Amino acid sequence: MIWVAWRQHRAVLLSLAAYAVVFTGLVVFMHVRLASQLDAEEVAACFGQAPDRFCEDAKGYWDLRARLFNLDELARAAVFGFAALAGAFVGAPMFAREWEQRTHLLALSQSISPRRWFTTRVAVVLAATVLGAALLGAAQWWATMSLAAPLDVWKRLQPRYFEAQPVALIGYTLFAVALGIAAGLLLRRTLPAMAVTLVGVLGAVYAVRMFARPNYTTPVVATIPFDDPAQSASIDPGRWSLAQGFSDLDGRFVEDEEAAYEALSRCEQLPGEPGDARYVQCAADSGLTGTANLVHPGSRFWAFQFIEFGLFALAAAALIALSLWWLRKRST
Amino acid sequence: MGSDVGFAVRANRLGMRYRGTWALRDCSFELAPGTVTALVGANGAGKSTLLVLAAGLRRPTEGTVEVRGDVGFVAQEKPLYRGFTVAETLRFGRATNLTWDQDYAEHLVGAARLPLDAKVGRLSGGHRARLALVLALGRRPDVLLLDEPLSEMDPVAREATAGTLMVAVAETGVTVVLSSHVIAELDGMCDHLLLLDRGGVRLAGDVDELIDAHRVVVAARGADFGDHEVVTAREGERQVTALLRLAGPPDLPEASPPALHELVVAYLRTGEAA
Repeated sequence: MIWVAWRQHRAVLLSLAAYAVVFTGLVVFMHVRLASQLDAEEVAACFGQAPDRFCEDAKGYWDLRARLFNLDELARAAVFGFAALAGAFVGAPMFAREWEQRTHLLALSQSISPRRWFTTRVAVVLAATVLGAALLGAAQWWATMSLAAPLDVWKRLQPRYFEAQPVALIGYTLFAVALGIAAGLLLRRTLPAMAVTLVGVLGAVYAVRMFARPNYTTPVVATIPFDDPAQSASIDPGRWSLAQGFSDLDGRFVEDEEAAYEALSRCEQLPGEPGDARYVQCAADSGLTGTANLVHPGSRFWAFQFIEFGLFALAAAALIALSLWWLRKRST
Repeated sequence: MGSDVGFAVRANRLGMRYRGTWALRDCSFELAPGTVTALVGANGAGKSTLLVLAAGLRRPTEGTVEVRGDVGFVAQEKPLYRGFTVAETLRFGRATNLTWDQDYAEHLVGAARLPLDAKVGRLSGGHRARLALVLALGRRPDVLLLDEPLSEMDPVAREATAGTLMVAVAETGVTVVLSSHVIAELDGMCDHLLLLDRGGVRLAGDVDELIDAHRVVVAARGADFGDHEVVTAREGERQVTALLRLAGPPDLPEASPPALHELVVAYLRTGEAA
């Protein structure tokens, strides 16, 4: 039966494999080229500097990086796109096409049980697509970790970077293929199932990014006190900043920015320089101690990847269970 | 075979409703093992629905249909994977069935002159129908359900396919149910008849017994046929041709037993008139 599953899907699975290999190759190529722009001495010097001024002197590196910027964005979009494409081109037609071409009458009338027919094919397809997602995600992970692009490590918790990282990407791929399978079984038409899958995957990931991911854990308030602006040098570069504002006397985040700005502009009109003792006192009288960001520290990256994976993997399992139930309800 | 052998297919008040209309209703019959049954009826009489239910591909709305043993089924569309080659189609059969007779399947493919490396999508309709039948026979089923198996075939292929089926019946005692609306192509193949009319069983039984229980009579208009039931009557200017279902011994001088197709057409026509 594994042979049957492979034979039925090999064309589209090989196409997806080619896609994964091409974009993995592109990412590796870009970052090897970038790395070749840095010599050992420069790298050694870089590490002595503050993170946000990383390798400022390596002009050749930064020029090339600027030129590759668009390509890098494209590669990242393509890596996330793999999940959506797998859902639309592998998951959706898997069963919809059987019903469209009436071959379900052939498959379901053999002595193999519908359950085994379904699970074997789903297992083969999920294994193959997860492999592709792992390859692409690993290349992205390597690229953000490699010496040539340490700046990206800082960003990997941020939206658009986060989604291309391996653990979450595998979750999206499982979800997309499962959604395609469920849509195909319920709608029994390939094109509508593909459309539902594409819209569903993009919508689900966007909704999670906007509403769920910021709340995976409680964000922390990162404050730069008015009386110690030097602390800005020690900002966690890998953090994901959700909102900017101010902190109050208890260290809480002040959301009402308009009132805060009003109070601070009054303080600014006092004689003296902003940031001097009188200004700090004035701000404190209004209940403000410094500028602040509501952030998730960069150290939460892996936890967030696994929470995201868990969420989408759970949804995928539910969709597969729904599909199997539907299949058994419709036939015997 | 006696009644102690039991049944191969049995339907009990079987009914199937699609979107408010009954495709099949109150259908009860029993088919003995080793019989070859012609399932006939007008378009939309419920033949395909009955076969799909018997194959276990849908759940009936009401009633039951039981099939003893392993069931081979060929749907009306003769569905096959068009991207597969003939050899791969056989491998599909081997992979998805508990029992599979590869030698037999290859023998049938050879007899039908199907090239093993040909893509299924490039085969003619008749060849595809034969391959679909090979796939159903290769698993050596106990019951074979065929929906219009001969419809796409040329006369030579029909004869060869009929021969293949008869050999399979003789060798393995497989029970065959095959539907058709071309009655002529079933003559000589089938020993039983199951006639559906608008979702119900109109006539069922052994072909010879059914023929024996009917007579075609040509008589003067207004003739009295006694207790015999008039199935259909066609009136000419002076005389009437009637198909009678005998209620007792055949006591009519001008009567002759009907041919199978006469019998079937007569019953189908009563359905239309009603």
